[in-house]
Amino acid sequence: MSQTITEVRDACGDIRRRLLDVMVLEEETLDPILTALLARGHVLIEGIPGTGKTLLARTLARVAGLQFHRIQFTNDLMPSDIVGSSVWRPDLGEFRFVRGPLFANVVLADEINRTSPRTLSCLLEAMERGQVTVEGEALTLAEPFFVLATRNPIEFHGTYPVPEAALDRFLMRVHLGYPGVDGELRLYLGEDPEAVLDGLEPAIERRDLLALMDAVDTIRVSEPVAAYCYQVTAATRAHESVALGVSPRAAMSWIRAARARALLAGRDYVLPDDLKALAHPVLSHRIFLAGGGDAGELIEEILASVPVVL
Amino acid sequence: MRVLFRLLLVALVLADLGFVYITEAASWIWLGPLLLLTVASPLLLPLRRHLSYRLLWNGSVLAAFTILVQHASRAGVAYLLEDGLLLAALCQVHLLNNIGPDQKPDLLFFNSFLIAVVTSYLSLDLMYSVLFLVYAPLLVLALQVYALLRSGGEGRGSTGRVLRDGLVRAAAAVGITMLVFLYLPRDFHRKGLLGDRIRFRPPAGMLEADFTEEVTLGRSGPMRVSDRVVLTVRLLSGTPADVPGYFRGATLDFFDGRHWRYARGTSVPGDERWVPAGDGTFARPGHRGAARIRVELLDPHATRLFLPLSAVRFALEGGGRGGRVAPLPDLTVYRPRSGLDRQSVSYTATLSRPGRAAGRTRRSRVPRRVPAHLRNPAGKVPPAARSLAERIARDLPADAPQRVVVEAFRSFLSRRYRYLLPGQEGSARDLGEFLRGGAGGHCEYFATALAVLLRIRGIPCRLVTGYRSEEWDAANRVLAIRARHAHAWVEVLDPDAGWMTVDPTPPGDGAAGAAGEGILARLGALLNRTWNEVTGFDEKARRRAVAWLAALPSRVGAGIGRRPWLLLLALLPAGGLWLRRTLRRRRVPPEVRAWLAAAGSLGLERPPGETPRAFLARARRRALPPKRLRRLEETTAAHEAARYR
Amino acid sequence: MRPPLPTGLGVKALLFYGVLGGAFLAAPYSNLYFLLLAFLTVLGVLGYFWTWRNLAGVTGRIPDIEPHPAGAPVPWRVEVRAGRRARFGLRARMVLSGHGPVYAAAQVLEGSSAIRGALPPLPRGVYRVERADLGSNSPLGLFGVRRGIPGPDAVVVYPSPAAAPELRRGAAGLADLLGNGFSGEGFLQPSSLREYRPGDDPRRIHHKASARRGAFVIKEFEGGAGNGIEVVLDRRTDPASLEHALSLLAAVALAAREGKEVVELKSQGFAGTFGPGHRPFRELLTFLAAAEPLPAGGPAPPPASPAVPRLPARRPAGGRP
Repeated sequence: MSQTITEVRDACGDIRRRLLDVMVLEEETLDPILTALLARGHVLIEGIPGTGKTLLARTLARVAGLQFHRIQFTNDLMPSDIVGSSVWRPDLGEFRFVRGPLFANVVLADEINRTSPRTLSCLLEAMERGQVTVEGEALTLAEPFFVLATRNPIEFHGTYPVPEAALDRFLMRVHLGYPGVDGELRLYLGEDPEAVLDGLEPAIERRDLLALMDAVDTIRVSEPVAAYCYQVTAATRAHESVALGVSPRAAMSWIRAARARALLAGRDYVLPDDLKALAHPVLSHRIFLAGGGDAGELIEEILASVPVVL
Repeated sequence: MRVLFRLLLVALVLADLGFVYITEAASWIWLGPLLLLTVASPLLLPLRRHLSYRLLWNGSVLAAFTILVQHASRAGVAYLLEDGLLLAALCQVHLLNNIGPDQKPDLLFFNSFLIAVVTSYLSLDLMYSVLFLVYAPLLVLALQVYALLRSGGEGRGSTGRVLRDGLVRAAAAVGITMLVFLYLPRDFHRKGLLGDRIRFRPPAGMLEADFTEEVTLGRSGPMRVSDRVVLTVRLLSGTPADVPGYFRGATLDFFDGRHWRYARGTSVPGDERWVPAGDGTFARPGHRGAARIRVELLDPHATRLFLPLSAVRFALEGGGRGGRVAPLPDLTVYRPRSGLDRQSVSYTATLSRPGRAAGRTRRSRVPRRVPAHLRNPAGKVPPAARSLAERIARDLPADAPQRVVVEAFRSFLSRRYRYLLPGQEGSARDLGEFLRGGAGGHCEYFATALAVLLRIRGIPCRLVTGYRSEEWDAANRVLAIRARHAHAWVEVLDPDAGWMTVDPTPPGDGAAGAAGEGILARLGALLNRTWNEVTGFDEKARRRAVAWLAALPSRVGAGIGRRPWLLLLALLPAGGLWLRRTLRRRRVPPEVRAWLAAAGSLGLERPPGETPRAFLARARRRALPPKRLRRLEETTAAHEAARYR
Repeated sequence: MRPPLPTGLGVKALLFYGVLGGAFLAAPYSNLYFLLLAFLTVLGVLGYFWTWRNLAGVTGRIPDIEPHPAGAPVPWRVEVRAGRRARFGLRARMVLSGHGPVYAAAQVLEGSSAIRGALPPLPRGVYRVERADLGSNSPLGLFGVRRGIPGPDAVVVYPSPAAAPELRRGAAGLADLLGNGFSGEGFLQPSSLREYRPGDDPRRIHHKASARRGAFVIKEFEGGAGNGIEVVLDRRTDPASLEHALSLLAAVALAAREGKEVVELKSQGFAGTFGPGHRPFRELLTFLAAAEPLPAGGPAPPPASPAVPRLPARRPAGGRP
């Protein structure tokens, strides 16, 4: 195992390095995304335009040696537009299913709040099951299948709110803000990212990446760590300003993400630190406050007050 | 919390009523209703809303106040303190019943302390110490709960913690108070700025239990019992058994039905007189001593030198410079009042073995003819006395020896009659009432009754007043005699043995020392002695206590050196605690313990939500001793491997 | 932390102690009196020390208090780090300008914990926090000690939105509420068509489709009120109208916050867009809390499209019942 673990660390380090060659990103943003990739989860990126969400997705796909598609969601986008549709092929004399952009390893679902709920639910179904149903036939999507969705809160004309239940399909929600001063300066002075991206070689093969994803399940979660996870979960449920606390499914997602993070760090066991580091991206969109608003502060408070199980 | 506070207030007031009870300032007619109203106060409190209820209260208190003021003005200043005390108790119950949850009970606290203070002047009883030990934690707890209530906030589940905390604090306060009491040097004879003018003497109507040269029956009013040490008797040679507990002060042979007196100069048969042997020494010829004692007479106003009947020789220390003394024919020694510069007197005495001093060798000296006033009851004798004498004698053979007759009368009185201090409920107002059996009495009644009954039977006898004490301090071989040990008994002139001490007062009365056997009685005696140490505390006692405390470590060391198992015994509870803690800690994995120890040694605050790795990272950023930091790194790695891997 | 000071009870106790001490000095020495006085002295000294120790090492912080509607109790809390020892009777105080002190207390605290309290229902306004501190009279209540703690700058109490129950019905209610010129449906997206069912709004009939099929076809809308709301507030009005307008605006702001929508408000000296990705709603609520009427001759609000609803409505309270 330790052999694999070391390899994993090296491979992940490589991915990270190459990604950072192309773009300027904070560790806090990149880590959850890589973690979600390993944990077979999907990421919802929230942030202002122009911070390189698309670039990030493309680079990630390239570095991991994966196929990439981008879907721009609009309000007239139909489910068949993303899944694909059967087309009459006169030369063959039959209907042939033409796969839509969803059949890729890395799918960037841009501005999902612009599309109608119907299309959105189609995307969500694909995210959850890893397959789509076309004309009564289940079609398996690519393996791995990783959705990076963005939600752009700046424009509100012609947008639909993303239902809370839908948010649960995303393993993590990440805020992408402006880079720091240094980062932004590097952005101005550095090479054109597009040029760098063109010359970028994959750091890992698809097969190896799948093996890594399978390895996530072998990461151990010790009893104290599970107890800590439970105590935080229970604290969110008991908190007075919370309408809906962390569900058991959310808690399991949290543990899974923590496993992936441990694997990324080259450990074969989960630390409370993993849970704490992922509490915000994993839990903040799954806790609903009584008065509305963001659960970030509440998570901070709970993490500070719930004792770490030693 | 509110309920707890109410209960504490009720308990505080109950303690106050206890204080009032032990002073005997109030009868049950007062105390009973107060007690009921106190206990029922939680039930009565809702009635506060009604104006009529409040009017009733205020009216009743006003009426009681009037009665008390009237009583005080009629009974004189003597009852001022007691009436004031009762009034304070009344106010306390009034406050308890009329303070709502939103009103401040400050006055109740102060009043309760005032009651404790006033009581300390009126009663030196052991019960006082018990009550105070109950009162102090109650006060601390009540203050604590009051402070919590005033600050508001929720207190779910905090009652137990507050109680525990309050008890620990009360124990600390009482402990420190005792240390202050022991250590603080002070003037134990300070007169006070106002001197004697505000001294709370036992009021005129109130007897203080102390030695009197004459006895008058039928004086009523409460008896003040003082623990003032009057005499200390140090055993120089012999055993405590050689020293009778009866120290004679005066003999009284004339009784007129109410009053006992002694006619100085009247011939007293049956005793050799004290013969001056020079240099302040007096002796009775012909007797050899068995024990020697040194008596220190601490009361500068004492007019007698107190000696046991068996004393055969005494010598004033300093060759009689302590003042002139005049031995009297009845074997008592008079010490005339002279001047103001009187000081405590010490004298040594030689005692013959009891029974030897009145040995058969002196039979010839016992006179055949005894003066009539010793043999016959003079004055008015209550009719009950004669019938009683006949009734007791009826069961005796006609030729019974005098000794048997005396014992029959003594045991009859001792067994059939109740001992009560004057002023207590049911105590006799005169001899007749006492003899008829309807009322109890104190030692003077018992002794008078026996003397009158014996004289009706023609047996010569006299009343003796002095002190009786069995309060031996075994370690120091010192017998302490206090004011409350004042006693009266009877001496019977035995035709064979001369004057014999006969005490009809039943044992176990207030004047007796540790009466009874068994652990409880002994424990009670020990408590009594300890408490007497507190009330009779003086400079000497303070020095002794401080010296004892200072020498405690070395003594403990020496004691352990002699008996090492004592140390084991002392360490047993500590060992038990250690074992318990260890067992409890055993449940905590050793890696966690090691990590906690290493983390604790850095002196950094550890927020609960911080992981070991985060803590380590934070510790690394600080300039900390490298050795400790290394230990933290090691223990963190070990802990992680053991617990999280 | 300032040294402990005697409380009211403490001052009375000192007086009482003085009287008892005087009596002790005046009267001849008595062991029991000395003992009692010593006990009282020890209690006083320990009370001082214990009170100081009860607060020593305690740190606290009052986190920002969310804006709350007028007329409702405002919950607030104090984060306290008490250390390992149990602390008794900690009481946090916040002095609000124009209101006075408010308190929150906990009887026993240990470790890191929070004291929770509730401000009494306050009228609309922005209450500056003049002082925030943590105090305790425990254990004996004879002395009190306090220490300042960081707290919020102000408590924002915005107008009570209770006056606008229409909002509970969502977008349609909002339309009713703002009345003139606002069409919530203008921004709704038709998502599909379906057959007519009795009770459907006749305005939703898709006439072309109905004509084609020969049966009523209804347009279905999705997205609810997921749209921006633009409002102009003209404060040149009488206080009562302004209160009503502010109350409506508070309701709009809350509904928008609940639905993660965006509100744009323009008023004299104040304009902005609030919501996710814009300025926080807190600023809008703060403005609503502090807004004052302007004289009739005052400046006009910033220009806006005539389609944008204006408050207060020209017709007094519009068609509202």
